[in-house]
Amino acid sequence: MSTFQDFPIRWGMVIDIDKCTGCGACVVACNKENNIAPQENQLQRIAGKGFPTRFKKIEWLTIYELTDGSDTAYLPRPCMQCGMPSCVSVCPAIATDKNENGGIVSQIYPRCFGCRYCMASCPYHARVFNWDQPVWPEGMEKQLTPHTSVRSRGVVEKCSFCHHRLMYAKDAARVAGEDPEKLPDGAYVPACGEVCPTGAITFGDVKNPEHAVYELVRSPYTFRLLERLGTDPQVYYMSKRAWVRLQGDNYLANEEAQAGEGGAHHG
Amino acid sequence: MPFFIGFVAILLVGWWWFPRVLFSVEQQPLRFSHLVHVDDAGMACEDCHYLNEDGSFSGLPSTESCAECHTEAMGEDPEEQRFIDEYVNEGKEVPWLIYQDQPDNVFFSHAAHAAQDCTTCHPDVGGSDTPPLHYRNKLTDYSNGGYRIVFGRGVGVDPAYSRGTMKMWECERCHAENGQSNACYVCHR
Amino acid sequence: MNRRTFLSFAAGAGAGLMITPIPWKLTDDISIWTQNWKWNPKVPKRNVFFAEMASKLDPAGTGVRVALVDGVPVGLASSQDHPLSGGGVSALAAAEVGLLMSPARVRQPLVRTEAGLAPISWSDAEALLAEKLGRAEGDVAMISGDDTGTANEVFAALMHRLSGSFYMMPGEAQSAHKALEKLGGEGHLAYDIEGADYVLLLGADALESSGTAVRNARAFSQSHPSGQPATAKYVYAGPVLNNTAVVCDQWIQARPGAAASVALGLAHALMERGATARANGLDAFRRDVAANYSPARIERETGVRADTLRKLAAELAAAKRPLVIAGSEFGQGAGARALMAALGLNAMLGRINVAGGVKIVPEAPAVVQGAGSAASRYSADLVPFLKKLAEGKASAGVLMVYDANPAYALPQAELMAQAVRRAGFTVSFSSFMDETAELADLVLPSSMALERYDDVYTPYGAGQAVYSLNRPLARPAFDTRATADVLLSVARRLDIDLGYLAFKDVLRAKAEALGADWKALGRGAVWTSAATTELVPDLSAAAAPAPRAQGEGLLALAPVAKHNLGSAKVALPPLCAATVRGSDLMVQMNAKTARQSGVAEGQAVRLSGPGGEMTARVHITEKVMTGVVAAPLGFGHTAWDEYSRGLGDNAYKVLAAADDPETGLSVWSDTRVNIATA
Repeated sequence: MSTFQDFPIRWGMVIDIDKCTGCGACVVACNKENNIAPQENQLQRIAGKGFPTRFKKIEWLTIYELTDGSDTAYLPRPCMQCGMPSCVSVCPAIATDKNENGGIVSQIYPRCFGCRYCMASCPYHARVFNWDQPVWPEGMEKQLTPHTSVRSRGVVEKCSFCHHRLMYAKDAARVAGEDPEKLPDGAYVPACGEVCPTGAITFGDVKNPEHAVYELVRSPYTFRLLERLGTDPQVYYMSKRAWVRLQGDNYLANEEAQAGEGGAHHG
Repeated sequence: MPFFIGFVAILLVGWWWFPRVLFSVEQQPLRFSHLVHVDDAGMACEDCHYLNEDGSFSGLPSTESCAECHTEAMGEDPEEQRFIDEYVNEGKEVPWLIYQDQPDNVFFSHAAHAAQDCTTCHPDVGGSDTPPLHYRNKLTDYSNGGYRIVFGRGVGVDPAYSRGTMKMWECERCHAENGQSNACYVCHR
Repeated sequence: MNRRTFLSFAAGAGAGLMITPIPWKLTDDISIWTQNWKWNPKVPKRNVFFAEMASKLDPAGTGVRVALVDGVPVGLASSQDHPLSGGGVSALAAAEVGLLMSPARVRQPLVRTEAGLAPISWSDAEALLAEKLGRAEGDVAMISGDDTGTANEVFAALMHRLSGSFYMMPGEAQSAHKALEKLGGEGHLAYDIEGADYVLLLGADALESSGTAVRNARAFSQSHPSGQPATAKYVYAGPVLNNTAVVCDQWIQARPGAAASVALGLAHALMERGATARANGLDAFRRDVAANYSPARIERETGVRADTLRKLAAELAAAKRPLVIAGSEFGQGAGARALMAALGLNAMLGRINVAGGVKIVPEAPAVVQGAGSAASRYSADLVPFLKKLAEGKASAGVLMVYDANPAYALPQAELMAQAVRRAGFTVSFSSFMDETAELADLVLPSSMALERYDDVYTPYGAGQAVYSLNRPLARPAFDTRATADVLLSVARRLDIDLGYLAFKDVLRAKAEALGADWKALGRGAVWTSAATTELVPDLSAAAAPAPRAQGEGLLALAPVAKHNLGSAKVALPPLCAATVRGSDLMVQMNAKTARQSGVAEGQAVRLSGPGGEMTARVHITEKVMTGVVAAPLGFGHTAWDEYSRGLGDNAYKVLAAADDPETGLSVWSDTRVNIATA
């Protein structure tokens, strides 16, 4: 397996699960920002047999509901932008790559021919396939944002950490005469993080001590999903509840006590 | 002899007929004269084409900003009167044709290329009285930048006059030559 | 030409072809063509401009920044400076931009003909409405669902001049006005949640659907820094671990509609500790509390254990700046009692008009002659009126409905739809083809907030007086008009002078009366004022016995309102369609309740309550307390569009309102249902 470059900047998202109400504002903002077409007949998709919903629903950010039997928590799941992305190594078209400072995993739609190897390899189900041509209700296509190109039927798409916002922030820095590679905290935040009413999503460069996420990823309450697969995600989760942290990975019975205590993780 | 006839015929078809079929020719919706604005009115390029504070680029002035001067005709030109009647008074934007229009999946930053000369990529229209014709590839919607020739870059014509929609290899070559990253997301979205 | 000549010709052409651009250029172009399918919608290239707007769809009045490209609203961003958003955006406000082109929008005025609704011109429609109103003078009614707009003054003044009646859609604002009135006050109930160090939410879904939810969520966020100890404690008491309870520091299980009882039980426990209050009518209050709200009785009636209640009371007493917010779990039907009781409890804690407490914000000065005060506009109770109308015991020659969907979002929804049908001539001013508009005789579509002048004054629960102005950011997408302007014009046709020619002038007068800078408001600035109205509450009626639960069923029904699924006004917006989870459509109960009721996961069941029936599948989750069945609101739409229609069933149908003559506001927050497999 090839190794991936370590970049001077590492854009990271820290999601405080204890602050997520599951309200869905992040998903709605994401859909609008990234020109994800609204899908009709949700009921049929949900109730329909055959493909599970997640294979049919176009959604870059999915909110999962976790429970330990009595307590409940919500877990928003964007693309993990893994440090060791399994999707990149399997792509036969180099349509997805991790080759830019900041470590965001790119997905180039015109290059993708829809083999879906990446979807099979992604342990987070962060990727979705366009089974249908995206269709907007009449007139709503005039309301597309300039930020993200429309994806055709037959390609795989995924969250880009609102990469266009990084480009905008860099451009603003250039015009202001600042270094585009040294963005201040808050200059670049994805749409989901911007709108979150409870401020559950914090975003920044986890390698930059001036960014809030620098401290957060070093908290004993911080963990990552399926960390032991070695994918080195750039999305971090926080919870003071041990059972939530425990559900972040698959532990054997004899490992659970230790894992539940938590520990500082950093990739 | 038939071999020669076939050879010449296909050359004619390929070099004369094919480009005419492949490209549609359009004139800009208004005969905008850079000459009048630069020479007569003494305007600078940056008065209309400038970087915004947020880093975005105002390439084409909006009708609103044109109307700062052109609420009423300032000269005798019927085109100016037409602009005022059809766009200023109607509150509509002019559907200018863009010679360097890139497809939706390309993110181009003017701020990042501010150090470059504009005419590296754009035709030097600053002194033109009539905008160049817009040749649109019917298959790709790419522009050929005011020249009919099929391969994009001008052969035997003023190169500055033939700048069309740039291909990826051209972007990549310049990035490589200047030590810039060619990572996918540097240009794509 | 022989075969040899032809082959020779073809060979020449083939050789020549290789040195023409045809094969090479075509190969290249075809590959580009396949990468940019022309039938994909193109995204705009122009620069994005932002303009401030206050959401009218979100009852929280959230301020958002609308992203515009060439005058077309394409997206939104958060408004850091707006006091009611503080950088957050609710799912509903986030979807508002996308609703502009919703397939459910009414595209031009419509009039009922024999063949159904048919287009009509605005001038004909106005003339028709003027004629109908003129003929039905004295027998007209109007319903408004806009809790924050000055437009209500125009409507109420017109009703006043026509000797008609004016109703507000029931909601938290009405409960608050009624509760304050009963305690001898007037104004807006405001909660300084940012300043509180202990927030007790009794039923009120304060981080999702109640009050200024986005602002509340920001306050919660500030007091709960990630990875650090919290600086305030949030406690939620209610039947369902809803979006608010899931992040609160503690969830106390309490049956639906128990807010008033729990508040008074806490007052009882505080009185045991010797607490008193600066209030009138204290003796009656003490007597009622002592007689009816002992912790043991609260435990029996609400499911909140007596020791939990006493512990809560001790925590409240120990907190420096406690705040109690009460309400219905789904923002409707709480009547006045929950808020009266909570005000009494806050008074006992000394938390009225202090930092981090309940504030009484003065009403904005009325600017339209004959509109009356806000309290007077909220005084009439809509549900009994519609019930009588449906039963033929009341009449309405003309019934006008603005920004509300009474045929769907009221208890006994089917009966309410019947009332709309029974009215002589129903006019809907909805922007969308909702259930009420489908029944209307005349549909005069309102422009959306993005397309019209409008305002937002201090939504229920805002921490201070807040005023923001909306101006049209985009041209109306369809042939729609602002309703206030339409009715000003209709009034002129009736020779009624309301003092203004255009609604914009009303708003300008409002801004002036408040002392706000019109120009700054127009740029998106928000006017705020920390002024409060003195209140020494009269608690003599605050603990009077409340009406009993509606229905005879074995289970308590807990309707759940989630704003990503729509609200009482709007059905599931297209942009939110993807957020619907399978379990959202199901009625939920815990394993014990399911066992007792004899139902299993995924089973189809029928809930029958005092108002009617609904069917749904069962989802078993420990998010619901024992003895309670939770039902989602916002589904079962029969109108609207393909995104919302035909999804689930309407839980409003099951509810029924109980009269509460003493407060004059009916109650439907405590409903009992039976469950049977369907």
